[in-house]
Amino acid sequence: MDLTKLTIKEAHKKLVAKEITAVDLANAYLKNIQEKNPELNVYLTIFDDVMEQAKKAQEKIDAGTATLLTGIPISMKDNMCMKDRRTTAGSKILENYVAPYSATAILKLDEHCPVYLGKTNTDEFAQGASTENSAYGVTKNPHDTERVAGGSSGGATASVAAEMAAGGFGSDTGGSIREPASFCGVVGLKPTYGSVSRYGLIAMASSFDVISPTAKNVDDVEILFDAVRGKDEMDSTSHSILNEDSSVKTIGVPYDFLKEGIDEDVLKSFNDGIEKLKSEGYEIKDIKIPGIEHSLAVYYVLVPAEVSSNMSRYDGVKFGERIEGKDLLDTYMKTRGQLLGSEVKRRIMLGTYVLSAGYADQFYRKAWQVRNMIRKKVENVFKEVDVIAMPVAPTPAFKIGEKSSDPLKMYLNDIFTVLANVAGVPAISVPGNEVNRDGKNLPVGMQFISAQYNEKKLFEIGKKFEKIK
Amino acid sequence: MNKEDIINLAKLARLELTENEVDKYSQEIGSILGYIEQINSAIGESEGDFNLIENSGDRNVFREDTNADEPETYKDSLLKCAPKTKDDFIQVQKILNNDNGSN
Repeated sequence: MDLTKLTIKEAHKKLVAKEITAVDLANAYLKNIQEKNPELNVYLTIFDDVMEQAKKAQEKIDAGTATLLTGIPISMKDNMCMKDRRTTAGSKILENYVAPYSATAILKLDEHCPVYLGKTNTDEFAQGASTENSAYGVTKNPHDTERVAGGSSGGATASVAAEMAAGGFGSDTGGSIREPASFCGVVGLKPTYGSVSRYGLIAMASSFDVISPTAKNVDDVEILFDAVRGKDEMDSTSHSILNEDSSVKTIGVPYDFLKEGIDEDVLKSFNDGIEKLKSEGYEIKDIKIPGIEHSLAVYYVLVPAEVSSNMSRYDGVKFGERIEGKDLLDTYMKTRGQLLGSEVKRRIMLGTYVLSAGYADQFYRKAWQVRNMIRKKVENVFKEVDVIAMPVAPTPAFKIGEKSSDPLKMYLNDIFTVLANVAGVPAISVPGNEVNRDGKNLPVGMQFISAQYNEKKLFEIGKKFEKIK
Repeated sequence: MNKEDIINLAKLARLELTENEVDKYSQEIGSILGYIEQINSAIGESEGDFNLIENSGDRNVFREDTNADEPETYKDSLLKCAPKTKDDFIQVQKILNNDNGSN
């Protein structure tokens, strides 16, 4: 039996029934990692204490105190701080940074004694949609190694797709768990903003960022989400609210928004999915969300603004690498100029521009107004429908290098995912019908979005969709 | 965006750029600004007031201003993160310098 094919739930059952041990399970995943990581570049760090962790987890199982995650091998995106472990955020500037503390999400996971396999690849500081912006090379798509795994949490979703982890955690600021989940054929959940503490998550855009789980199926993603969510004193935007009502009857589709800029096969896969849901008895409503067409522009004003502020801490003084210049100013300029990658620098400058005295009204303040409007309109839509359905990305996984020379083209890839982040609502990507490219079957995700605090509706419809697709 | 704008922006953002980067960014940032400008026509006059924070539903969350950790709890581990230290201090270059005021 190949243990890496098991879902988290199945593996848990076998662990507590003593059919397998946590060491067996960890060994099976380590074997896959050793075989596949050199080609796929999923992990930036593979931990050398995996066996010790597995033995400790086994003790907990033997003592009869196992939870669903005890002994389950998981991966962590390398933008989450883990005490005494290297945390690079995919950047040269943090190449040798060893985190002095653990993220709250990790402290919560620690209580379950999972087995952490390692840290997964990410676009530098999670800025990108393909992991091509990682200073440590691109993560290749397990379904076609000429293509990207997606991003920025491409390492996280590829670790699940290539059976190099039973589940993983990434983060989602504008689609960074959902798009790579779609490209890799796994499930990715972006929770409600604030559902998971951001403490210890290396900040990209603080009013958008949220730690996000990925796994083989919706059941497993729910288990991972339950383990990390909740109010945390260290993050004043965090909360413990989770609505109990999981019923889904009506599904809204913003058809007007799907008319252009979308690959024909992806649209067909989406429409097929909607047809199946319809035949299951769901009411499909054509909805309008005024302002939705501007959500990407809003995103690419506010995110660079927050990036430019958050990245100011990387100055070569308190932590990270330093390139010594002739004076302090020169040290700042050289350290940041030479050690930050081109997308990060692009966003820092864009952000500096939209926040500058002459342009803040026209860009930053205006973008906040439009964000507020979109939030309101999205809220109103959820008075009519239980969930919104949309494609995840306009294309299946694209080829390595296909979009990396044109940043605006890369940004447009986020067109269907940023809405959930702009509005702060939860969204899930669940594998739908595959499409064929160059003789290879590529996964395509279906996206469901619900109102704030209504993750349970996403789990409900997601599980249904897994069965009927 | 002309090259001078980019050089000025990079200086404000404390980024040293190569000439190639200046060329590249002046094109790219120009085209991105062209795209994001659309937000200025996003709200019609009849749409109502969506002014900043007041209407976002967001509010500040405060906590008591107490000492969260025993002094020196993290001293050593934080000093270890710094690229250069001397005794118990992070070492940096002189900030004030008579013949070289920062811009």
